[in-house]
Amino acid sequence: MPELGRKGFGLLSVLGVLLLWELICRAGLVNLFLLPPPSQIAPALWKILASGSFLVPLGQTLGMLLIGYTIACVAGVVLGLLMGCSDYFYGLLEPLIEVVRPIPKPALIPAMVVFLGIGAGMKITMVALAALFPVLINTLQGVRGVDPVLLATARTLGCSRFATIRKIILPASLPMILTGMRVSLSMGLVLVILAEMLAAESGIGFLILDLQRSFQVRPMYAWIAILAAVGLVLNTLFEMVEDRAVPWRAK
Amino acid sequence: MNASAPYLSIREVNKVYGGRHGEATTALKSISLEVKQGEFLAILGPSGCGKSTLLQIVAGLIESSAGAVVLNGKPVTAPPPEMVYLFQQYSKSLLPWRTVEQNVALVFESKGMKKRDIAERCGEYLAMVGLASFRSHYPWQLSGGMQQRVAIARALAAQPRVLLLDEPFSAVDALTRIELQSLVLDLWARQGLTILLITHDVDEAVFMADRIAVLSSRPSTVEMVVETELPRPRDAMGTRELPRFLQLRHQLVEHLLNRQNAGRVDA
Repeated sequence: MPELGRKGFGLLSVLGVLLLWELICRAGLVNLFLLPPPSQIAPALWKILASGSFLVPLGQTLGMLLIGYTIACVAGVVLGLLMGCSDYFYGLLEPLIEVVRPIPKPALIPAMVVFLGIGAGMKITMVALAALFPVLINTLQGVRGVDPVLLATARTLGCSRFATIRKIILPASLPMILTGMRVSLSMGLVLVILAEMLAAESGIGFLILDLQRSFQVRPMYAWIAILAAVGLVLNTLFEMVEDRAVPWRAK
Repeated sequence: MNASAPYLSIREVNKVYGGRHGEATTALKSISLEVKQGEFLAILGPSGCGKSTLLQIVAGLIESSAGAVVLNGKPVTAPPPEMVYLFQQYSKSLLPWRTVEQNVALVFESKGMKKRDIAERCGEYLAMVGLASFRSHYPWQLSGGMQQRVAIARALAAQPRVLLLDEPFSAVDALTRIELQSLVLDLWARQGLTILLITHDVDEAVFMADRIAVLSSRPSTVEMVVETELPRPRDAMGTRELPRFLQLRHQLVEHLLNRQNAGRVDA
């Protein structure tokens, strides 16, 4: 099936679920106040989009996400390279990472609030913490997985250690690094929303919880729909970057 | 330097794997070979006999357990700049994120050359292997034989005195192999290189080399060394029909087969 045709076909399942949802509501099987049908959520969504009132919360949430995510990507790649290329750094950092990595990151939000407050610093730190490990671990595995033939080739051609890292190890690990960054992006989105729900006065997460508490159920669902779209757009953008950055991977 | 003195000496090289806790395996047992400058030496042996290990020790890529490799009077402890190793697995030794030209450029980049000069030099070396018009292609867009040509161009660009070839033609089809053998012989003669070729292909060893060293299976020792005494330049068709070629091939195949059968009876 051609690419577009396949995507169009997959859209059927989405439409099917929406239709089923609509039918369940219309058949009176659920309380319409708690679970309004898509046909009632759509106007609420339209109102938010048309008025432009989505811009500020969306900007706040994405801003926190992107700053934290960028910090995590840079730190993850640098630490992963250091650990992958040097036994010394590996020995030094591996125990620390194995202790911090298994902690479910949302569990750290209350602790972060205690000494960072409920502002941007706390949210950025949480996003960075959650997004760091997939990038770091994948970079490390990518570096370790570089083909020995490639490394021996670099040596026999007289590449210095630094040139080997920059020109061979880094690009050879790029597919793995990008896979880690993709996982991290979703983790970061989860954490920023959660941090906004637990301790914040702005952002989409705060808004969704606020709407729920004030029984504005339809706009609440509308915002969830916006979040779904944000996730989809971020993922699609990422795939486009990936295709451009590692064109040899599919071959 | 005395012209008859060996340019490259392999002296009593041993390689033992494992040991300490596990059982030690001796891969190479006191291998000694001497190579003259400009010579083409083939090292012939069955699969798994440790030929590649030997060549990587010569290249300074792995350490021997005992013995020494001496190049031009200096012991080899790390990959020397005048020696380049060409791997069998061209698809793994080329950088897929770089074009053909950029792959060759890798060896010039560390030398602080200007971009324009690099491009020019890359063009020269690609022309030598007949790939001048493929400079902007990526390796994965080329056939196996063409990829190995890129690897050869890159190896030559490093301006080695000694080229170490690790079964470089065993992963390409038969016709491409014949083409590449002639190409390498031509480059060897034109560049005045010294070549060590590792192969399990008797035909290839006889066709290309001045001398052939035959290795036994593990633990590998040098069983015999023969001079091919075939005229140069070698011709892909004509050389293979000479009586001396056929006689040598017969002798070597018979030797390898007898040994293999003897091994089976023992086992």
